[in-house]
Amino acid sequence: MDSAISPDRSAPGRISGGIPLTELPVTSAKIVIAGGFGVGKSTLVGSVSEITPLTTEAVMTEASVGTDQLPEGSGKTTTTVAMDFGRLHLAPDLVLYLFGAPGQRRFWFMWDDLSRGAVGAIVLTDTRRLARQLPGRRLLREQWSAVRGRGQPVRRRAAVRRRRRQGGAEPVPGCR
Amino acid sequence: MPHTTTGTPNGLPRRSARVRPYALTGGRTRFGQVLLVETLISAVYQQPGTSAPAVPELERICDLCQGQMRSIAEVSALLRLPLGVVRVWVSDLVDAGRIRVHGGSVAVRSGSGSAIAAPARPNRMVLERILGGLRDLA
Amino acid sequence: MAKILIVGAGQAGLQLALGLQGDGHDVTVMTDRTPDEIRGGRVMSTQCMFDTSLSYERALGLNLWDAEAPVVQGLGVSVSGPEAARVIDWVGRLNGHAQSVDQRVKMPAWLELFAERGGKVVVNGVTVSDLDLLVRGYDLTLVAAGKGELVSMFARDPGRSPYTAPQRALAVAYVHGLGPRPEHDFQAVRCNLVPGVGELFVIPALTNSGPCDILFWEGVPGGPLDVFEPSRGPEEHLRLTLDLMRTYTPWEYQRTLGGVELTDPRATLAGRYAPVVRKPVGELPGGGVVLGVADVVVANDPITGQGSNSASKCATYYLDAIRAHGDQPFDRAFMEATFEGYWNSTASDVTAWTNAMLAPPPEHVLNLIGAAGQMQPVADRFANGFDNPSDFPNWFFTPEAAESYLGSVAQG
Ligand SMILES: Cc1cc2nc3c(=O)[nH]c(=O)nc-3n(C[C@H](O)[C@H](O)[C@H](O)COP(=O)(O)OP(=O)(O)OC[C@H]3O[C@@H](n4cnc5c(N)ncnc54)[C@H](O)[C@@H]3O)c2cc1C
Ligand SMILES: Nc1nc2c(ncn2[C@@H]2O[C@H](COP(=O)(O)OP(=O)(O)OP(=O)(O)O)[C@@H](O)[C@H]2O)c(=O)[nH]1
Ligand SMILES: [Mg+2]
Repeated sequence: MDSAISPDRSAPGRISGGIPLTELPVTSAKIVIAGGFGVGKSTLVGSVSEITPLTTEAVMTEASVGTDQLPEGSGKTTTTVAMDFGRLHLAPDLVLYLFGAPGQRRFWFMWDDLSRGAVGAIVLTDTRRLARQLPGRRLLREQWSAVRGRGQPVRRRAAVRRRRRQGGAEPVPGCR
Repeated sequence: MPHTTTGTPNGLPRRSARVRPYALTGGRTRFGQVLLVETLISAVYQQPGTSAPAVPELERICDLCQGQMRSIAEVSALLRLPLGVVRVWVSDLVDAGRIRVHGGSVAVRSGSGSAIAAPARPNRMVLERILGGLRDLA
Repeated sequence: MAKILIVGAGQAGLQLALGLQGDGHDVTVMTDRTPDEIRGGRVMSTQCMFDTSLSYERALGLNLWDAEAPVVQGLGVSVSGPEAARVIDWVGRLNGHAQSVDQRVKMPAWLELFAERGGKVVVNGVTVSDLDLLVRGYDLTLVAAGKGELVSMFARDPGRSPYTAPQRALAVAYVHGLGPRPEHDFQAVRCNLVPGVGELFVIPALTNSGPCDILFWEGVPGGPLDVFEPSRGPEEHLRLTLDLMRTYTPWEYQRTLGGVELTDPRATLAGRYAPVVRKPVGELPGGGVVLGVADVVVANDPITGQGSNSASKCATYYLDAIRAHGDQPFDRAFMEATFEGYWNSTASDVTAWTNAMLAPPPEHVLNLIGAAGQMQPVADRFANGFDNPSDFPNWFFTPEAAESYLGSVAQG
């Protein structure tokens, strides 16, 4: 599992500081990158971020929602959920964050947190494993409607980027 | 929370007018804006000697946000603190007047006027600026 | 005054938060959803609350919907016989009225009230790692997160949890347009028992769009009512609900013929869970301890409509215990004693009664339900048992108690 920023990972030339203070009212926004396990979320975040991608982690109990499948005993089993993100300082008063949402089903509660206030979503799919891309599609159907339902309406701008595994590494373009 | 932004009668820059603890009768008002992962915060300049007894972990948040803005998620990642802990401690620091929250004016609450609300969504113009910024990258 | 952290903004968490706030404690509530999200979200319960728990809400000034909410004055029982004939039909009068206010109406309002009174609200889905660090800053941490994933911090208590699997498949629909009830001219919760198949509850309630009725099927798993899937759309859910009413409870179906519609697109709920009782103290990796509240520690099947009532009673019991504890530390011993007090005073009787109602009814229970149709005091006593389940051991649980009670009623 990825760990939080470590100095050895910071690429030269990338900024690691904060956003300079300004007298202008600053807006920060975020786009959520969703998609199943290993589909390329971290790669996309890393390719467009101006900072070395950071990771925030949470330890969760290993349990699904609903009490019927819970293990007996003390419930001490835990799992770590990591969420990586990057930053784009688009203008002195405008900052955009890109968050890679953990794909596994049991981390959907993180998606609630991430989709709150999001201005957009990108769903990555691997065309060779469409059956396993369900989380991304469900995210769009369930979470995105929730995003839209709150606050003022936001136009649906989900860019669905397909990629293929054959033919080795394809270049990973920034989001368009 | 009723954080009234009543202008800046003393001519201070906008950011110091933002945090107004104890404006409510009854002793305390509290910070009611929802802290999103991308919400930006910065430390409020402290007069030397005015700070309350320091809690080391809370001081680390202030240090990280001294003279610059950081998002809630950055604070979490850089200090290796879980998001929920950062949110609780930051809202404590806002109540104490040590941290200021940027963006999403607290005066303009979400449509419903709820006391606990996320900052207003960026308007269409901002969305278009974001899109333009992304196009420029490609 | 103590610094108290409460995780979860439901019936129990918010009632406790507002009560503790009123006592002058410094209370922080952490919730995974904002008031607007709860308001605009999916229905969560049928939340019918009876007189005792309503009185606890009144004592804290939290009864904000008395003017609008339908006043429920009775609790009726019907039993479906061969060919869906209605072989039993009676209604008991409640001594104090009951009320169901959609939690999507109530919880956001309470959360905002708590904030307006100066309480701190932090919107965050709480994880174990959050609690591990946060508990150190509080005198007492209460976990009132319902049936969410945080419950796995609390060990199941096998001695108090007879079931390991869900006993009913639950399917809820909030509707407008149900016709007037022909049986009586006052509002009542009606339980329709379909032996071997399940139960239909019809509950007058208040939702965002005004007074409504809740149609709530409890189906025996694997049986003919076990056909609801969360993935079905709301309209399909309603259609299934009505079809099953036509088949099994035609007298209730009659009331839908004027045309019923869902109160809103999120007015349906389908799911199931196993009833469970847990140990009250959750231990964190760093050694901190937290106290479980309401559904976290005792989650019964909704067949007896007790969960919100128990949540209110649990919050009240804990509030009194915290008051009585004064300045002493809220340690593990306090937590265990507080839960044990709640269990002994309330939750054990609720759990025993609810688990009994999930099983096929024994002979003496069938006799009592039949007798209630002839003897009004029996119907009334049954109805008022929903308010005070601790009365059931006195007359309902054993054949001997039932016989002696029926004998005393017959003598007048
Ligand atoms: C179909 C159905 C019908 C029912 N009908 C009735 C009835 O008629 N009468 C009755 O009395 N009871 C009924 N109940 C039971 C009743 O709804 C519950 O027992 C009651 O709501 C429990 O209250 P609580 O405060 O313990 O938990 P909840 O009401 O579940 O509240 C828990 C809160 O915690 C939040 N939360 C969860 N996890 C986290 C986290 N990690 N971080 C932050 N917040 C979190 C949740 O979003 C929620 O707001 C019914 C239940 C169901 C499912
Ligand atoms: N061919 C190809 N490989 C890619 C592309 N993007 C990522 N990869 C590779 O796919 C693998 C997984 O990429 P990650 O970015 O770690 O995927 P992820 O979605 O973050 O994975 P998890 O966080 O584990 O769910 C790595 O080996 C990447 O180098 C792409 O566009 N084309
Ligand atoms: Mg990744």
